[in-house]
Amino acid sequence: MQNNKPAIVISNLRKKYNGNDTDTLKGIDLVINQGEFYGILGPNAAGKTTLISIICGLLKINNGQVLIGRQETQETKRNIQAVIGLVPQEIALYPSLTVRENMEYFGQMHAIYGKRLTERIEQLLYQLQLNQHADKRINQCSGGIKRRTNLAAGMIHQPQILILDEPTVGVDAQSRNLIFEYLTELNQEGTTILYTTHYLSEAEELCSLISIIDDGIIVENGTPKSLIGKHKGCNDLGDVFLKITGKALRE
Amino acid sequence: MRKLWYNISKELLILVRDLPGLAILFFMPLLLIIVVTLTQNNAFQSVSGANINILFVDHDKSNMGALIKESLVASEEINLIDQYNNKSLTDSLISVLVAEGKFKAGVIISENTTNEAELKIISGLRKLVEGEEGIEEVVNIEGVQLLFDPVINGVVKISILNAVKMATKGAESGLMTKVLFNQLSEVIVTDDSVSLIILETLQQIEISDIPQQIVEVNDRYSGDSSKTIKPSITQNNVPAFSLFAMFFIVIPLAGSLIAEKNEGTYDRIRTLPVSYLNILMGKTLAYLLVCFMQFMLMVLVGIFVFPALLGLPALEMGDQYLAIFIATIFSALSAIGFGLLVGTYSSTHNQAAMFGAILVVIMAALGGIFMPVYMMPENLKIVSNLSPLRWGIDTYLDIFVRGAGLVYIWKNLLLLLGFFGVSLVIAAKRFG
Repeated sequence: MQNNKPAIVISNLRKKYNGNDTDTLKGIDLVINQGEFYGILGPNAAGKTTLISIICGLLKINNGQVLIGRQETQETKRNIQAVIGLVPQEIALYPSLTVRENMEYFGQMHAIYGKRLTERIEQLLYQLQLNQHADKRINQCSGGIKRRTNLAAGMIHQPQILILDEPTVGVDAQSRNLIFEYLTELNQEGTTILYTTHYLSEAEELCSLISIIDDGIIVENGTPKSLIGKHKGCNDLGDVFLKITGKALRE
Repeated sequence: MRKLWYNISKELLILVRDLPGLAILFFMPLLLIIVVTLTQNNAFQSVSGANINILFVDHDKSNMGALIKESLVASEEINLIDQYNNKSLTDSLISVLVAEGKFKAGVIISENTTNEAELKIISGLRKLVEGEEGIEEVVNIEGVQLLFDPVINGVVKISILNAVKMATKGAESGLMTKVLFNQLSEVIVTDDSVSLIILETLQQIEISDIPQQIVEVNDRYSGDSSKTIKPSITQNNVPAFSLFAMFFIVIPLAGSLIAEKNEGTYDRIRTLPVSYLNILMGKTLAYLLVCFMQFMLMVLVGIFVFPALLGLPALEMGDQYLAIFIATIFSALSAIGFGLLVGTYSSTHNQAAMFGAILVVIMAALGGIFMPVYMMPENLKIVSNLSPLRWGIDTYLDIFVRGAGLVYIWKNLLLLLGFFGVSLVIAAKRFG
């Protein structure tokens, strides 16, 4: 379902946090086409979460441009909110509400109501195998259920672009597999996916294109296969990652 | 034991690393002690009195009026005011100013008080000396009228009442001595035989034979008696402490904002096609309902439980229902605004709970919930004007004790609403 129409275009993006001596992002250029399953990899403090936050319009930039379709994220925030779905690294749900109530709330905020909302929730509950847990409060759910509900809340409005920040942290193999299957299906239906993870095997398995970001710049990009082939002696993406970013420990 | 030590170390480390939280832990109680002590210190002094301004008008313009005034002026606890806006005081002006709470009390010395008192003393003396039956009794005139603000603190009221009664008694004694000497000098000079009889009679007089009260002090609450609700501890405490309780909404409200900030929900909310102002208004209206129900519960307890189970006076609602409704909504909005501000600027739930709760107590102390504002030192009185609880308490007391309507309380209502508006804008700007 990929096409050559750009979904996200980032040019010369720079970001410096107040109080920091150096830029967190030091001139990022990136084009993600519609229908792409795009992975952003990088060690801790490389700037992945900052990049995602900027794409979602949560952070102001110091320089450069970020376009979602043809919309500038910094100026037309409201317009891009309907297009983007964010699944943050944290379980961004209301702990005392049930799985269903959380989904209802986020759906209502996207102006989805009544039968349409009920149907959408039922569809997501089925797809993410949450039916049995729909009426459980989040603070009584396991890590896997929380993660799947976190994903469902970001998908409730069927966004064209889904941004996932470490969506499988702390879940068991079964839940992880379910999430993979769901995301693959979603991508095949045309949803553009931007995915960050520390699990390199996940990226290798899921992503059609990958950028490796380190110290605020993109140091390498390409398909998983091309990256592995490009670096001699590397058998998988994990080898490539360590070769590019080094073995020194990060923050 | 080792494990216990490591647990203690861990907790101390967590505390030390939350420096703002730690600062609040030390700074807020310190501030609380300072403010509460300052307010109450003056109140204790006032049992032998803060400098309370009392209106004074003397229609007697003779000995009694002058002696009472002299005595009151000498009192440390009272500051007599005999002009308002450079105009002489009248009975009606005193009544209005006291009823509106601009002054806590007013003293009116009635016309001919001295003459009537002299007649009464002479009549009493004649009765004692001549033992005459049928001497016409001098009817007590309304010598001294003492008007009180309906919302005056009970201790202060008694303190003022005692001061005025003492001054009146002192003036009576002075007048009695003067009359006695005048009478004696007349008869002793004119007739030796009579003076002997008088002296013999005087020697037989017991203290109890001397009239104990010559000039009456009549005290009452100022204001339209048809409108003014009978002051009572219930009328003062139920609305004032309802407001106090309302402000504790700060803890759950600020907690909810902090939880959203810290648990990632806030980031997700910001990616939703809805303004943060809308989210904040949702919180506001939900908590407004809670505050209103909280107030209603307090009122119902005041009306039914106080008299039935506790032997306390029942809360009287008066007839200003619209004013009560609007004052409650605006006070609750102000409390919610405070919660939004605390939630906006606190980074942990502990910080918000500590900072918010102690600040509520401080604002309540400044607002006059524990000790009336007029008994505070002048600099604290100025600071108290900045406390939303002061605006709310004044509003409720005006309604529940003075029976005031919207026309009278609108200024405080605007302040309460303004505080909410500013808080909402700050929170929306900071988060949005």
